Amino acid sequence: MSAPLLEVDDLRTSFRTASGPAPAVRGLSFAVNAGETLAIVGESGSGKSVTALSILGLLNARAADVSGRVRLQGKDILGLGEPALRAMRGAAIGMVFQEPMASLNPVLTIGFQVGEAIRLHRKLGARAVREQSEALLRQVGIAAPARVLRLYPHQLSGGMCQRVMIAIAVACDPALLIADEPTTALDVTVQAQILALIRSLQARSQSGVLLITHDLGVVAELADRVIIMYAGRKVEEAEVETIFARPRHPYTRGLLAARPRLGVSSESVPSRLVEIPGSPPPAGADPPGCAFLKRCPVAITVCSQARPPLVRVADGHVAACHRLEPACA
Amino acid sequence: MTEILNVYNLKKTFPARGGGLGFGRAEVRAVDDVSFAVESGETLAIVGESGCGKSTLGRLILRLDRPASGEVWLDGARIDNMPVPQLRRLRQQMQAVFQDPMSSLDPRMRVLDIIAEPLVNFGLLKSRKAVERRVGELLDMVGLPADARHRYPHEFSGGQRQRIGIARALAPSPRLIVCDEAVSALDVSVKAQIVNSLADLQRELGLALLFISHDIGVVEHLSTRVAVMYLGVFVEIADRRSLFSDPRHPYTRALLASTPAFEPKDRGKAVPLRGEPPSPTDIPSGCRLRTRCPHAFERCATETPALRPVSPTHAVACHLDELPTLS
Amino acid sequence: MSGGVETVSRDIGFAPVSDAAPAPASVAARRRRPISWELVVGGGLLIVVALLALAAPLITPIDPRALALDDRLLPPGPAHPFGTDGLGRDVLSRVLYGGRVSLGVGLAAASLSALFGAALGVVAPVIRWLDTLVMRIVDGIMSIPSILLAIALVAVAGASVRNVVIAVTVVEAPRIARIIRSETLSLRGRAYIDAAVTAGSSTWKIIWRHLLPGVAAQLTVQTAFVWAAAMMIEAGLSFIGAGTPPTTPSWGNIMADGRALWQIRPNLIFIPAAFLSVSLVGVNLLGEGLRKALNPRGART
Repeated sequence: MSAPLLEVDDLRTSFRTASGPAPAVRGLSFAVNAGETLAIVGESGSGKSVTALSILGLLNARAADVSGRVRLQGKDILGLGEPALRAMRGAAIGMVFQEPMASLNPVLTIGFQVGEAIRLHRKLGARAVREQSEALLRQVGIAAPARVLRLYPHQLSGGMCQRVMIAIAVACDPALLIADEPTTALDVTVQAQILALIRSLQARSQSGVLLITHDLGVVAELADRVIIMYAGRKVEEAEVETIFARPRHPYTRGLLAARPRLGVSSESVPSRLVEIPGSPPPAGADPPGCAFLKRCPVAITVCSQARPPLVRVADGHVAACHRLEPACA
Repeated sequence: MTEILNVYNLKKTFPARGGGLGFGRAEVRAVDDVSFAVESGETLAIVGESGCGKSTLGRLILRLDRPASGEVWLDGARIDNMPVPQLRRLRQQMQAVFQDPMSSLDPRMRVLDIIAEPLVNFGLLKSRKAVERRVGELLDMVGLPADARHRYPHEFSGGQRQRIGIARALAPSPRLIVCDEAVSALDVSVKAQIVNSLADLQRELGLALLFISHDIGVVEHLSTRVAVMYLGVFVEIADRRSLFSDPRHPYTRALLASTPAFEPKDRGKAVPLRGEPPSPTDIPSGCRLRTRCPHAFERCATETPALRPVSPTHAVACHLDELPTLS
Repeated sequence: MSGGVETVSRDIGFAPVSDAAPAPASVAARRRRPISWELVVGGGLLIVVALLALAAPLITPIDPRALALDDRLLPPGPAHPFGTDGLGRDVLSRVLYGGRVSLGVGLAAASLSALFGAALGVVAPVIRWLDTLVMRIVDGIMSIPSILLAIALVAVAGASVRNVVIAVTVVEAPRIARIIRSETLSLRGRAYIDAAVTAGSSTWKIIWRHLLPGVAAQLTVQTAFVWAAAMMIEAGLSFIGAGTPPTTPSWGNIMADGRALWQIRPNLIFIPAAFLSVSLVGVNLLGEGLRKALNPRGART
């Protein structure tokens, strides 16, 4: 098997606050292969977005300490200086963020911004840039690209802006696409379109996709493998079918059970949503035992004393919980 | 079952900002002739995507904005044109829970004062002690500890703040609570808690809920009846079971079909609705959905479909439904 | 109310939005750092000057208005630590008593400006027709350079300490009104104002209970800066003879008296100027320190 596209080893990110260091990511390791989509799932405080920002070197060095090893296509990128990082972003790694309107510069035309993405990494004349920009917009499903290039972000809808963001992200055929909550701010009908778009783009380019989300529906639509994060750590990782069919960690089970199910209205008895009591812990808190202790329905004594390590539950499936039954195979 | 809220032909327009080419000022018809009623004890959900006007509708009902035309009747009294001092007294019957837990609580007030505000305004309790006792009861009802009284909003998580907002809404014992995207800004695990709490409270207290949301899944769990809104109008309104098992309007069907897969094996089955929603300043003539509807035909461009009942509890605004051959 | 300020606690226990932010503010509840060096130094300087001014009778027994025509223009010495002016008056005494006027006028004008400015600024956005009217008047006043307007007002009403206070208030209140109005506008759009309306609060109650506390921090900071501006305007007015009447010493008119003689006795200008400068630096630093203490960095909730 070829080497993974992105390898993250023991990533630790901690913010410097007035009340001391606040760790957001505590020793995360994973890999993304070419052609596959890895989803990192978590709620607030899980550290999932901080992970993406750490990998991209987007955290202010005065505000955050990042350590560990991150290798893209074999090369270490965590220690890179700003010029090298800038060369990497947009070229080797494409990024799509959550708020499409806020990610685009409101005073520059779409054409300028898409063109800039191309110009930053390729030396092309103005006409070639415009033609490539049009081709890109068409590729992301925008009809009448020539007209859209002349517009400003506020004249486009959220869905269109997100398509533009995706166009900018894939402008230079990046090997890896990082998408942080790409559809959270979009309506469900538009979300369906954008998810289909990401899927088709990936199929065509065989790039790797690191998808960060809280929405298990998006995970079901796009992911090949899934990592569940809680309080800065990985608590479960498996292939997507396994996560949905055989979740082992109580938090994963809770997340899956808390989803409203369509079709419940045909049942005669009104059903309650399954709750996870309590709320996600604020970043910075680090109790001695398992971070999920206070919300866990099956916690036992040892859970308050020792943090459960990640153990292999089955092939390609790990989970960190004291209550796992011993692996049968 | 009495009707606690009645809305007749409500309309609201806003001048468009910078929209509209040429002469004349373009208008956004945010709410364009909406009528419905809510009975006590039921939850009417209003579902729609962004820009459909559901939040504006909520504000009109709460009289945070004045409608351009139409009537709003609360508990038998007409409130859309009621003078403010009279209206203020009637507000006791209609409370609200807002979307953003961060900004819906005054950061400079203690929880006790936040929840007590309606009690004080409506003069419901005589002594300070009685007020504090009631606040204690309310905190208990929403599952917050009694010592929360003396703390400030920033000391609580989003889910807890929403509970404080719910406690405030319950304080004057209203008959109707308008929830405007009350759970949208919450984490998945917390959302379930709040949805359950709302359902429990409604049952215990016999409240009417007007639940405005874009989240179909939550709506299916919580609602008694559902109205689907698109570009300022209701396109379908039905009891919960009918709407989800037999959606008639193409937009309702598209909404339900666009929901992302519940499991990986269902991926790729979402049928995205074609195209983009039209600009709200440039609403298509006739049926608003016709530019995106796979079944549009000539009549859809010339005549706006009206909400017609297809059963005692199910009404649809679509020309297709009048065709005799449609099953 | 101890909760009179906003703290930044970008609470992350709730939103499924991106839970990261480049600023540490989003990660944990930030403790405010209320005591900055500006606050300490600025406050310290002001307290020193104010104490000197208030303790004037204890420091020097000489009446600041006492003429001593035999002792004119004496250099600094044991009897007159800062020397005497052209009419034999003791400079130290005049400067200390003058401090009372300069600081006092500044503080009075700042307080009145704050009162009127806040009243207008908070009420205007709530009552639409008032808003247009008030803002046009404010624009009109602010289009005239402050010193000129102050001169004009004093010329009409006559030079006296009271009129100087009024003139400075007329000049500075619009500035505060505008700033407070913009703060109020931003607060008014917050959901908790809608919630207060729904909870049955009257307009006045909303202003008093929700809007005013919300702008209190900004108001305090701006008042400090207005204090500095007021002192400068008073000094300027007095310097050109349009301010505090010459019988009552103020730093401005002490400098005016010494203007013609500065080549012989530079201390006649430099000493009051030094006191004025130190006071201005103190007030400005205090304003800066208050701003840091009351307005946390980063996103406001």
